Formats: sequence, structure tokens, C-alpha cells
Amino acid sequence: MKIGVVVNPIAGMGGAVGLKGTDGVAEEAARRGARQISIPRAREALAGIEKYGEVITCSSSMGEDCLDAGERNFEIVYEPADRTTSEDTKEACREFLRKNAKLIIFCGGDGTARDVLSVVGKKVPILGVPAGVKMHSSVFSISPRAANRVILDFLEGNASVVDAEVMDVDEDAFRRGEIKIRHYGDASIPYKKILMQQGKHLFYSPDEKIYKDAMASFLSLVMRKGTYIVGGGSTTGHIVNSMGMEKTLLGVDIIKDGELFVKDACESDILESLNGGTTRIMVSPMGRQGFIFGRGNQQISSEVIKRVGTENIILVATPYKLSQTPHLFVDTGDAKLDKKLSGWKSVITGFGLAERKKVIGM
Amino acid sequence: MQTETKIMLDENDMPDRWYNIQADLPSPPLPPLNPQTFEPLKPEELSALFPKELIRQEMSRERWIPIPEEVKDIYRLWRPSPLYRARRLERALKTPARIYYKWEGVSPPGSHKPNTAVAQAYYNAEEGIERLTTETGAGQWGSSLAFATSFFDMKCTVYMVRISYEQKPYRKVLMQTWGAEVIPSPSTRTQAGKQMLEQFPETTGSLGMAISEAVEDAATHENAHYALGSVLNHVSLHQTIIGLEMKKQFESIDEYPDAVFGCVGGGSNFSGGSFPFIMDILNKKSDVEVVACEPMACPTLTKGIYRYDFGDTAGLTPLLKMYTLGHTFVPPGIHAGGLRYHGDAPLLCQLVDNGYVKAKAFYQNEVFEAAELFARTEGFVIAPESAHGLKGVIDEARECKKTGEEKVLCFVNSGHGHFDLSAYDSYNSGQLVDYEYPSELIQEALKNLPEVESI
Repeated sequence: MKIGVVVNPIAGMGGAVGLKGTDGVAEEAARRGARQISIPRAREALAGIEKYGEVITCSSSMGEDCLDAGERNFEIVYEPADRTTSEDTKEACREFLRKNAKLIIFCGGDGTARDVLSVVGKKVPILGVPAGVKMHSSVFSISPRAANRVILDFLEGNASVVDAEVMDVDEDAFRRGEIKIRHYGDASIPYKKILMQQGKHLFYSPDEKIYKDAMASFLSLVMRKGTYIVGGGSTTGHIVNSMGMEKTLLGVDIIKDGELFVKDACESDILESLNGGTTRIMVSPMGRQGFIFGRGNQQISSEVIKRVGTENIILVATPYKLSQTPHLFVDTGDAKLDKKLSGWKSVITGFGLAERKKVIGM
Repeated sequence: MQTETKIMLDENDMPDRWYNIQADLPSPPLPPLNPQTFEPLKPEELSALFPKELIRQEMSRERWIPIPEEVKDIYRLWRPSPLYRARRLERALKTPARIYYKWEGVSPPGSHKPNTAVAQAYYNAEEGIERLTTETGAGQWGSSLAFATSFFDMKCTVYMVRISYEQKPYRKVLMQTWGAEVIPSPSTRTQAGKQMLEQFPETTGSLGMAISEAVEDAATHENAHYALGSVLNHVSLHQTIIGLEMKKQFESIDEYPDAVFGCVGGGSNFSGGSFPFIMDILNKKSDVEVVACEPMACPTLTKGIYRYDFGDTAGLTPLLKMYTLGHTFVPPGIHAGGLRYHGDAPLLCQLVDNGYVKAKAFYQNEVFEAAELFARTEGFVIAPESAHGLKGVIDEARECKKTGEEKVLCFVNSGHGHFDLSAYDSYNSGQLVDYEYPSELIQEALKNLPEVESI
């Protein structure tokens, strides 16, 4: 069986430097000191797959670099130019189809998923290894390690194939602080429950505002003293806005003693702010997907979390959102830290109210 | 070797006096305070709400208080209640422990609550009171007072916490069948209710809010008194018939418990079951372990602060020295509605503070898991409230399995769960939420308040 592998080498670079996406701004991301993250992630997801089939891929950072160079059990079927673009992803997929690939594995975010979908449609199953800033689509496994398990299960004939939505946000609107999510179409994916992430969901329930108000009046009291690194999303946004500050809707802001200290902070801003005194991180899980770290809040990196301390994390979510989010997940890229973040955690859901929820690190 | 499943007492062996633990406490209980003056409350200040005999009992230091014949006569409809040996549960747990439970679900309203409802209705009727007002959470207390007032030709007005009113419509019908008027709280019937609705139009209500309404109703109407189903000393007093019967029943089979468990909402069934055993501790005759079991969602004894606080949300009641989560705390809508109370009985709190009673808190799902195991071994589908005590016993019995100790464990099984089937349904379909009380953040929030309220 032939397996196509394509990697978007710039995926996810925008996250830690506060760019909320890398589409069209890769150079700016690199200038801000962003690290390539997709290659090590793809490598983890692809471990051992050549035992099950014939791997076809692209040269250098679009595939070759992620596979075992010693064995060279793969065939290069597409060679991109030096600076890769979304056209290269599409062209590689066309080549995989021509060569009769039965599964296409890609590593990237929603933008990459859209490129793959536009060529592959539902002709063969695809699977996303998560490495992007935005991951609203359901075609991604919850972590590279989980992707590896899904791939091996599929190749052994132990995973079913289901439809999954490819979604993406309008990145221009996203950088302006608006969320507009579009459904671009459905792909086929190999599926194992728990290992695949749910599509992100925006919640509109009449109770949402009441609970957000209650949480805001509670946490705004707590946050009058101390330093808070506040992740993106409408729940955290509502809390900070209620304190009379303007929250960057999808960025990370730093609040110090009830005042806005750094707006739209990147990882280095956050690390700089961690000097002395207790700091807390406040984040809300992504709707239905349930990710608290590893998707969307990449500025709050594993380094940041370790320095703040896992005991200083406040999770917030409305009861309805939690009821629609079966599990919470972390994928910080640091397995040891993910393990520390796993287990039963308290999520603030109202004024002095909390629910316990299981956090799974993969 | 003892082989029976039910340890019964003859009607003639029913205790004829209640036990008042105030007589044996190492230090006298701290008095309730007047909500306006913060001075210790004078007995006459309670007379707008309670009959003289109940006020006397509230403040009494006499060890034994006789049960009136009229009250005993009604008690005989279901008392003495059986003490069960839960052999099938023991086998399922493979524990060397011997597990007993006092089954209070045999009363017509299905719980321990009529033990005090009948006594309170009697003393009010004796004083010529025509109507009693009260609040109810899960509906057990409201049904019990409706049941009790029907024997004395009195009217009964029940303010029922809104979420229970909606979740348990059959409890409402039961109260109406015994002749009570049932009003979802907060309501527009009282000033307190109107204010709460204005402030929180979507509120699910709470016991604290319903108490404010019932107290206001009684205080502003002639010939009406208020009846409280828990917390107060005289309520705990009436419930001691549970523990007194248990002691006789254990004595008849030559057993004595190593540990007594029970659920705590306001604390009355727990106090009733445990005080007669604590009497033995206070008199240095026993070292029985006494464990109060409460919900993680409303962990008054495990996470609360021991200080004076109001008994209700609006701050109309006297201030009581108790463990409290704050009188404005509205607990989440857990299914053990009877345990959603911000405070606890002052006498019980004093015993917790003095180290005579331990407290443990449990999550909703683990409590229902225990209740399901109980239903499948002992047969009875019990109230979610009572299942907190059961959960405490099961954990201890499992510990005994590890250590090999043949401990005698017992709990007050305070009521049946026939009106809680929607809760069991939610549990079965995986819909139950494990609520928590974020105490650390709450303490910080209180500290950061611009002006810290003294009360």
C-alpha cells in the first residue's frame, strides 16, 4: 500500500510569536525568531510506518527530512522549489493520487488541510498531524503520538473511515480579533475515538452570557492582585473586558495587578514578564475540541507553563461548553509536562463554582 | 452468631425522650446573635417565628426531654424504624467489615424529616398557631411538614427551591395531597423573593433564599409560624430518636459501631443519628469514629470557615456560629438538593471544631455509583443525599478489606430515592457533572474585596 506524506515546513511558526497563523506571513514569523515545529512533529507521527507500506513523499523539509534517512525506505515523488507555498502542497497531493496512494498524511494546520482537501476531496482518506496555529478541522489527531497510533491501526486494518469537516478561519479577520469560521468541505479520515480531535465549535446558548458574567465578576475580584497570563477566546475575553480592559480576542494578554501590562504578547514577552512573584495562567479550553494547551495558545509555551508552575493554571469555561466537551486535552510538545498537566482538574464555571474535568495528555 | 437481616424494636421499646447533647458539651454552645444588634438573642425575640416550647428546647441544657404522647402516637405509624445488616453489600465489597444501616425511608413521606415535623407541628398547634411556613430543597422536608400539619388541622405553605420544583414535580403533588400550598422560590410572594428575582432573574434558587421567603411570610402574618427542617438545636434534638433507637438495636445483638456515617446538608439527620453515640465519647465510654459526609459541590464542613453567619441569603435570620461557605453562596444544582446549604447545625459544627466529628466530601458521580451498587445488592433505591453516607461507609469497608479489620460500620440511611429517578437517569446516561468548590480562589476573591464585610 502506498502512503503519501507531505509536511508544511512553516506550519505553526506564527503561534509562539503571536501571529495567530502563518499563512502569508512566514517571513515575518521567521524574523520574529519562530522555530520550525512541523518537522519534529511529523517525525514522531511517522515512526515505523515504512514497515506497513511504501512511503511516497516530497524532498527536503516537505517530507524527506522527517523520515529515517538511514533506511531510506521511501520514494521522493515531488521536489518543491526553495521557498515552499501552498501550491507545493497541492501539487504533491496530485502526485500522490497519480501514484495511487491509499492514505495521505499531512503535517500542518487548517490552511494545509484546506490545500489537501482541495485536491484529494474524499478520494482517499487523509490524516492531519497537528502542527498549525489554528486547528478547527476534525481531520487532525489530537497529537503526533496519537497520529502514529491511528496510522498504524489504519495500516493494520483496525480503524474505520469516517467523514470529517475541514474548517478554517478567515486569517485577516482573525488578526483583527474577529472569529469567522468557514466549513470548506468534508474529507475521509481513519478514525479512532479519543485519538481524533473534534471540530472546534463556537457556542451560542442563552445561558452563556449569564455564566460568563458570573465568572467575570468572580475572577475579576481574584485578578485584582498578581500577574495573569490570559489566553485567547471569548470566555477569557469577557472576563478581562469586564475589568475595563480591552482583551485581544485571540491573542495572549498579560494583566498585572488589575491593569493591562502587555497586549497581544508573544512567548518572549511572557517569559520576560516572569520575574519574581506568583504568576498565573488563565485559559479556556477550545470549544468541543477541548484543548487547553497546544492549539491556539502557542505563545503559552511549555517553557512558560513550566516556569509558571502547573499549580498556577486557572481553567475557565461555561457549563454548556463543558457539557459539550467530553475531555480536555494538552499537547505542549513536552511529554513530561503533558503528563503533569493530565488528570482531574478544576474548571471555573461560575461565581465561586467549578467542575472537575479529566485532562488527557497524549 | 447474629443472623437476622432486620434488627427490629418493639413499639413499646420506642424511646420516650430525646437526647439533648447541649447537656454534655465540653463548653457551652455560642449563642445565636440578633441580626440587627449582634447581641446574643433573647428567647422572646424568637417568638414571632417559633412556639415557646420549641424556643425552650432550643436553649435547654437538660439532658433528656420527654416526647409528648401525641407525638409518639404519630411516630408509631412507622417507628421504631428497622436497623438493617447489609450482608449482600458486604459480600459485594468482599469486606470483613460488618455494615449496618438505619432505614428512615419507612416513614410515609419517605425520610427522617417527620421525626421533627410532627413534633414541631404539635407544639405549634398547642399554642394555637393555624399556619406553618417553611422552605424545602429536595422536597423531603416540605412533604414531611405537609404530612405533619395534616394531623393537627393546620395550613402549610412551602417555598420550594425552584430547581427542585422543576426537577421533582411529584414531590410537589405529594405536598399538595397532604394539603400544603407549594410555591417555587424565589417567588414574587415576598419582598425577599422579589429582590432576588430582580438581582438574579435566572436563578435556580437555593435553600438560603427559600428560608428568607418563609421567614418573611411567617413574620409578617398573624397566627403563622415558621418551621425549619434542619440546622437548629431543637431539630437535631427531635432527630436523636434515630440514634437512640440504633443504640438499643445494637445492644440487642450485642454489637457497638466502630464508626457512624451520615450525610450532612443542614446536619439534622446526621446529628440525630450520631449525637447519642457522641454522648458515649463525651462520657469517655467509647471512641467511636463519627464521620460527616457532604457533597464536594457544597463542602461546608471540609472547606467552610467557622464563624458567625446568617442562616439565609437575605440576612433575616439570627446569626449562628457555624462552618459556612457564606450566606450569599448559591451551590450548584446538584441532585442531592437537600445538601445544598451554605451552613450546618451549630451543635454539629462545634463538635467538628472540637475534633469529635470528622468530615469528608464526595463527588456526585461516585456517590451515585455507590447508590447503584446499593440498589443492586440491598435492593433499596435510596435518596442521593443518603448515598453520601453510604459512600463514606463503602470507602471505609474497602479500607477494611485491605487491612483485614472486622470493623462495625453503620450509616443513617435517611430516605428513599423514589422521587429522584431523574437524577439516577442522568447518572445512567453519563450526564452528571462533578461540581467543585474552588475554595482557594474564593478566599482570594474575598481578600481582594475593597471592603471586607465583617459578617
